[in-house]
Amino acid sequence: MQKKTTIVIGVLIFFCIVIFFARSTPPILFTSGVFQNLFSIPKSFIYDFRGNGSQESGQIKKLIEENKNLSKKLLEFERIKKDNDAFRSQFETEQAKQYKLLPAKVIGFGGSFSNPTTLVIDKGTSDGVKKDMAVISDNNLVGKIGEVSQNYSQLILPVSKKFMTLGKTSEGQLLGVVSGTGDFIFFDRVETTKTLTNGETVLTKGEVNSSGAGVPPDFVIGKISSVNKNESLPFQNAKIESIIQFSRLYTVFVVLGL
Amino acid sequence: MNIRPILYILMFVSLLIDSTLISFPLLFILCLLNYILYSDIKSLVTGFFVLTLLDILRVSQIGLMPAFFLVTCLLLNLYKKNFEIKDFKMVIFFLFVASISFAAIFNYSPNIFIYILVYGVASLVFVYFYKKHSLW
Repeated sequence: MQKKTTIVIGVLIFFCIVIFFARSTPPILFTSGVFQNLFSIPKSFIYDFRGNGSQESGQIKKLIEENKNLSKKLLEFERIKKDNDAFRSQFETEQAKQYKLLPAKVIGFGGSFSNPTTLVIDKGTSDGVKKDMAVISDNNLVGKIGEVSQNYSQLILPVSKKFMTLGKTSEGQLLGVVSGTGDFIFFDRVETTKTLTNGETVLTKGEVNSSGAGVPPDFVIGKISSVNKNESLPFQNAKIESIIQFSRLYTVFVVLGL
Repeated sequence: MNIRPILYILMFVSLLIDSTLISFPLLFILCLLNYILYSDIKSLVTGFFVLTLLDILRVSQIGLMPAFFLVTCLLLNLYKKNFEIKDFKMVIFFLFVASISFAAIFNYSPNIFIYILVYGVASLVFVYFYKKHSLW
């Protein structure tokens, strides 16, 4: 009996290997699409229920909203300031660019309950979503698309070790690399000659890959909460705290075109 | 006492709530428990299918979760040759180690205290049913 089960285990492991290598083939994609469609509504309902079951107090909610609005106004102010400087120099002008956005519902997460590292959204290749596309909420960067399947996509959040993008500070325009460590967002490779300050907003620099997917510029990643500077080293780094609570996101927008 | 239908219902529920409501490898634990209790081909095939489904719903690379489950079952078989696995203390310990490894590989909550708490409670439940000879 034990020999029989060992043989069955071997056969099933073989099937696992075949499925793994054939995961991009039409039959597997079709089957996974069918199951994802089937589970989409119950998962979405359960995920929404999870948020409604733990309401924050009215006061805290109000403060979070106010903080978001102030960040928005600050960005708008920076853009107007840049426009003014550009008009004076007569070289260039900054215009608020319109992006093609696809709304998506969050239906799952990965990592810990209160500090997830990935989210699952209910849009996939059938909706035009591709790997490395940016996902935003208001004027904040939520993350980048990782794995994509027929009807679902995995959204890599900035705290994830798989996340990396170019960033800049809102005031000093200092460039650096934003990456995740698993626990917090890290802003690294910033020149030591310039000064990073606590509370400064870090924005996306903007990047596009060969397939046209990428991260648009001037979206908020977070605010600097602590700076680590050593004059003897060529670079300084900082810890970034996100303005949005990823575990409280229910609707996000995928940037389809840059 | 046949707890298989209860296990199947729990598997279906955990398929819905896994990574939606909880960040705990409940489905994997149930599949492994099903195999430990019954050690038949049915439990292997059930585990293969439901974990493939979980891979699809979590948008992870399809085939990896069932492969991990099957390798764990294979290790269990090798262990059973020399040791008695149906001692509930060994069952708890094996499930604990397997679920921690599964959680680390497949991006579940890394908080080890949750696992200690869950397995502590599970041990008490097992002691209760074991004394009553209700399980096996």
